[in-house]
Amino acid sequence: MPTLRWQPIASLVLSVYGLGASIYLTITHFEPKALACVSNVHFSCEKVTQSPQSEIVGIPVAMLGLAFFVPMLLLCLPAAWRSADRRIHLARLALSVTGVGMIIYLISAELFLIKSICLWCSSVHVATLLLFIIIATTSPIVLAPGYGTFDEPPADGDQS
Amino acid sequence: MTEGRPAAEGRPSRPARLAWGAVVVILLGVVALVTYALTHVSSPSAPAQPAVTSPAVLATLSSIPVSTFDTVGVTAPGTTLSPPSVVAPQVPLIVQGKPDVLFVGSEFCPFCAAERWPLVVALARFGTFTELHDGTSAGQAVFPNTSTFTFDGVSYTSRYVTLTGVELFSGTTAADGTFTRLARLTPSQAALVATYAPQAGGTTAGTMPFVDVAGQLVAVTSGFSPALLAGQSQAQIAGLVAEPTTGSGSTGTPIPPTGQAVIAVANQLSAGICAATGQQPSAVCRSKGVRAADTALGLPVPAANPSD
Repeated sequence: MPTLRWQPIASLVLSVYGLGASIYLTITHFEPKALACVSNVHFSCEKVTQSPQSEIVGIPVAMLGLAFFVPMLLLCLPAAWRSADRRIHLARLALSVTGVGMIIYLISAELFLIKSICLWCSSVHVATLLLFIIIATTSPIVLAPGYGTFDEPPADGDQS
Repeated sequence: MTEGRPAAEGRPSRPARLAWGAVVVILLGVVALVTYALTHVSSPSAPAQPAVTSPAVLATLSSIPVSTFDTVGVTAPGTTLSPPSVVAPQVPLIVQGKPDVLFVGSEFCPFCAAERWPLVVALARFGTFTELHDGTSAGQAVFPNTSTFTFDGVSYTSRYVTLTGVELFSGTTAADGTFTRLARLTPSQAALVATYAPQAGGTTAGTMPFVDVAGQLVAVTSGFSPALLAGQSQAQIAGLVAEPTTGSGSTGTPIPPTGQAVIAVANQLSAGICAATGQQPSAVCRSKGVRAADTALGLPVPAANPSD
């Protein structure tokens, strides 16, 4: 059975980063003066986070980021990665696909509608994209029949 | 690496190929999107920054003699003023250890445009505007293109008082026809609006302008009609404020009571600030015009300046 090595830890780190950045962007959505970001003709976090596109049906996009990263963080815990429950892995995959769809929309909005790039937002987009890559490429393993139903073989020299 | 490759076969399984294919497609999509934006969409131009207010206009508004304020008092002939309300005692509105004047408005709003004039005149008696920009109300609303200022990015220094200017929306529309959001109320500012706007005759939300004068006075509309500013440039209005006269001009055209209205409302706002600063500076707070406003509003009236 193929095994996962760095992917669970990497996904957890990315989720923690994404959650932290989303919390920060949510705060600055309501308190723009707290936003610390590069601001020039091409880059302006303030212009992006205060744009009409910063809300979807009245919900700040930053809060949607929170709604994405909280469950993602739970689904990327080592225990969740080890789980034999296919529903956990399907949920993680579905969430990452939703996330990558969302960032394609948001990148488009930044490039074509707002015409300004928010570096904080972009860092979250990169984290989401990397999460998608990790989750999509590991899905064949974690969704394979029998995954997680037995323990890893003991490492060399392990006498237990 | 990801081990979706059965070693015995030496080639990726079908699910692994599908997964990698999806990743490649997404990555290509993102790269194509960014490439297209960089090569086909015109480079974003610098956002239209409002012009810095002319130093001459600012100097005019900052150097109005006390005698002018005293002569005008709190009335303007031929027009009705809407004085601010003295609200139930508030938790002191303090910023950086000083009483704060909170202005909430939008650049498109003509009543906000009118209210900024007396507010700038009043605040200029207590301190200095180090950065102020020009503004006009929206062209597609009532009282279109009213000349004014914007408090977006304003910088004001004073020994006595601070200014918090919140412009919620821009004065011009974006390509999608909507006004661009410039700022949002903090929870504490929203709570002030919700609590005190109804006491002053406004609503709990959406009241613009909302002016909280250091926890003493609240205004939920302009002190005078924006009609008094109609068709006049910023410099023309500043000239009327500096020399608030009535009657007819050289061409026989009646001079609107614009100057008197701005000065009268500035006296009212000054009275609110003085109530919060302990009647400091006395040259302003004990002046005849401010004391007249104290009386009219029902605020404590300090003793007159010895020179009066």
